[in-house]
Amino acid sequence: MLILAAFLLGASLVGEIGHQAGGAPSAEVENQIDSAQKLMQAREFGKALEVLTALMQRQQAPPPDAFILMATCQLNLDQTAKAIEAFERGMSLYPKEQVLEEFYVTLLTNYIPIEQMKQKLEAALAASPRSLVLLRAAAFVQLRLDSRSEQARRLVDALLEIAPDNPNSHYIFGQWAVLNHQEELAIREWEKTLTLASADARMQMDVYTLIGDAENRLNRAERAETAFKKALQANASLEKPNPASAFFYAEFLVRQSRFEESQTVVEQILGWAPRYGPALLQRALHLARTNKPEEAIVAAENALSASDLNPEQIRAAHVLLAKTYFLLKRTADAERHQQWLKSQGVND
Amino acid sequence: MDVKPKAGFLRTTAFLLALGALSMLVWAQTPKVARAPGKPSPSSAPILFQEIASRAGVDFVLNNSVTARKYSIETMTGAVVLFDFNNDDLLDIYLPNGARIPDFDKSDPVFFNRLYENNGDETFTDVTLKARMQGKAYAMGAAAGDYDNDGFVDLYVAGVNANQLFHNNGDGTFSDLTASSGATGIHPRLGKLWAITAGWLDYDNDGWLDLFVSNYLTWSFDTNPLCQMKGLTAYCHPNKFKGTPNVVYRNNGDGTFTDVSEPTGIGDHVGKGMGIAFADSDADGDTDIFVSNDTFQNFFFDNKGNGMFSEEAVFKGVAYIESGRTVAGMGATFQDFDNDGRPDLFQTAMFNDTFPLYRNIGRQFVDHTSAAGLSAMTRRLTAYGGGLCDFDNDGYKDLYTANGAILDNSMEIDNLPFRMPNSLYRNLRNGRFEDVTGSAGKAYQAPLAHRGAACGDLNNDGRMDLVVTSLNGPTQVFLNKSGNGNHWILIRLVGGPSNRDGLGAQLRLVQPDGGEQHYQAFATSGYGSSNDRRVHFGLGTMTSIKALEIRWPSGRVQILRDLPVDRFMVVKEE
Repeated sequence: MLILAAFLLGASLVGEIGHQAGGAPSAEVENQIDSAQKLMQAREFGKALEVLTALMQRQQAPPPDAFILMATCQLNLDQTAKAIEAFERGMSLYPKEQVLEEFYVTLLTNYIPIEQMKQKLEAALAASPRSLVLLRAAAFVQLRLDSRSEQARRLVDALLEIAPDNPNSHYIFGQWAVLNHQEELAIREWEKTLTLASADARMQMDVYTLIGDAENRLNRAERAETAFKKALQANASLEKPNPASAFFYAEFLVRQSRFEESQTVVEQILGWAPRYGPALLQRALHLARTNKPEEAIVAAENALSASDLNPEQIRAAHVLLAKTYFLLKRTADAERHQQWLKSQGVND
Repeated sequence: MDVKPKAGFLRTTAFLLALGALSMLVWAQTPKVARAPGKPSPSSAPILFQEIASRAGVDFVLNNSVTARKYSIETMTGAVVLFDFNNDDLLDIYLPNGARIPDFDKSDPVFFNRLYENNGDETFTDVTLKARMQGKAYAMGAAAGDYDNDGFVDLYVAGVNANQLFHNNGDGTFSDLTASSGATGIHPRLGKLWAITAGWLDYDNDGWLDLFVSNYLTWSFDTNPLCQMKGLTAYCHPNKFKGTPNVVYRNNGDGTFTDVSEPTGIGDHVGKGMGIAFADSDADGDTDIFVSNDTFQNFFFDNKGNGMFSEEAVFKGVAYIESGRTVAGMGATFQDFDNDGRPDLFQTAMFNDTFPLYRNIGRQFVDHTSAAGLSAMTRRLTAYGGGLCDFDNDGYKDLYTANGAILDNSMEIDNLPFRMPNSLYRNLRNGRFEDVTGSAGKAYQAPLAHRGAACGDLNNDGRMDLVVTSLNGPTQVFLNKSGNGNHWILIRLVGGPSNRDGLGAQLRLVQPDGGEQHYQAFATSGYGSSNDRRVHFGLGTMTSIKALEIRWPSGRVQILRDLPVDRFMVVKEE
């Protein structure tokens, strides 16, 4: 939560938000906003909020960025509900203001349960039914909640209808398709995304990874590998490469029983992100596979201390540790990890 | 306004969503596209099956009494038992069946369990009524074993509303002795549990076969929730139900059994049991038990040799697959796929799980699925039955799986077919398998909702055949017609003082070239099924056997030397 608050704070202070809509604000409004920003810079969020509240009371239509600043202050004061309300008020005044919508969606994504987010987005869409930002977010939420629902399909169709040339529309349609086991369709949609966003290396990395995964699901290993390699190439060109994307390739290679090649990718990932848990775990599994139990234990303990393992990976690390300690006849350590596993009440 | 994709949160969310959501795909999914047929190995003739059920007179249709309500039991029935009930050295076929829902009435012949007597000419005669074997349960699996050592193989049927012990009278008929035997499947606290698989083993090596029964979910018509996917009623995910403990019955040697689930420690473990497999996995002289659990960690009951078992699946490395996931475990089989003398474990599972193959390395197992090439080949499949049998007689056991989805409306729900072809994976003798389904015969590739499967030599020609059931569909009897001319030997064990079936005996075959093959004699295999209990070795081009060592459960060791090949032989314990 603090990260998002800090992000909003950063964005609102460096002028990314700007005065983007509602016409040119008066000098008085400008002054008050400047004043609030200075207070925020000094982390005087309470005082900044007072300034902004006063501005809101005086102005019938305060500029959109006033709402963003206000929400930022409220977030930093742990007033999440009020921050959401601030955005909702801003969006009701500026129904076509994309920046407000984007911040609103970010806020919902990070601060409220997904079911509640769904309700909020439905309400916002009722007011702005053709908002791409809101439609996109609603589609993602619906895909996550029930990708097989009619509602998911309706939202995806609406996106395509409103923005047929938008790469995001095809990107999301591809998501819908793969979640509904229509991998061929997903790949076609993602190829359209690639064409429409050919200059975006991060998008290329994302989409090639997804294509690789879909090809793999279709048992087309060669095509999958081609896509994963392109993803890796795009990934490596980024200022900050994405370990999760490259890890897909590493896992693919394991499934192909190409363990050494997989390990090369794993080490490349760890070169970018030395604390990336899934890669540390994969390294541990490889060490166990190659009969280096002591080293496997060290790597697995390292992986467990990383913060980015998902529950399944955490379990895998405990399984590996229990088994490897047992092999080394370190019974107490083995039982400690087995006990952890039993305490989780596994029921996938 | 929204023209270019941004590197912001939405896309990140999308990315994570896609990756995360894909790993959480629901329980009931099956592949959309038929798997590309495998290519036969250029080095030898293909494994080829001829399907003969119709002309052989095996007209059994597995009837689950399907309902619109979709009770979970409906999609789980189906098993195959291959056994010789009349001692003519010809394998007969027993096929458990469903019953009418909701009253479990079996009086309609469409619900009879069926016994087919082998006529010895590749035809069978339905002797169900004559043998009094139609049963009374909504049946799941069954197990053949001579529990009273009278020389006639008996049968135990695991079911939803009842389990049944059929005593073989030796005159072509059976008697239901369930009540008097005590092996009722009724748990002292929980009542009758939904049993899936039964298996015979002599866990205490006293010469009498004991009985292990896997139990699945705490289920009843009343507790089966209405489950829906995409607005359609569908079979529920097992997480909608609590698990149950398994049961082990000790044979008292007088026709009765004692429920020893608690004193052995086995009853302490609540799971969602499906297939079971037996082997002395650690060469300590007693039989260990593996239970394949559905979306729950597997169990490995290590036999401590003192009447107690210790659940050590995590330590053994078979509780979860390498990635830390449980699988929707279905069938299970212990067999030595790499001829290193240690029985390995194979499990069938469902779409996206892959079918795990755990290689036995002594004290533990390693997940060998990817290394065997099975991850990629099985990822898009769901299978119930399955196991290892040497179909090409090259001395290495091959893999077969009986494939079919769980949901009968999976096409509407997941755009994935309910009916699938079976799979056949040839053992490449280097730790890897190749998919040879495509060359196994057209009928082998017929898409059906396959369930149980068992292998055995139906016509005593030394080539292992296969029988597979399918839900509301035909039973397939696959005669092995592989034409590579490889040699073989088939051995029926007769124990005494060990159990008469010789279950648990460990065989080591020494080839003239010094190579070895190993086999542990158990019949229980796959999903609720029983294989031919006779021991089969494929011998490749070898024309003699240097030695055959048999370690009987009694502890006796018998060595036969310089045996001829291509024959069926009976070995009595000495």
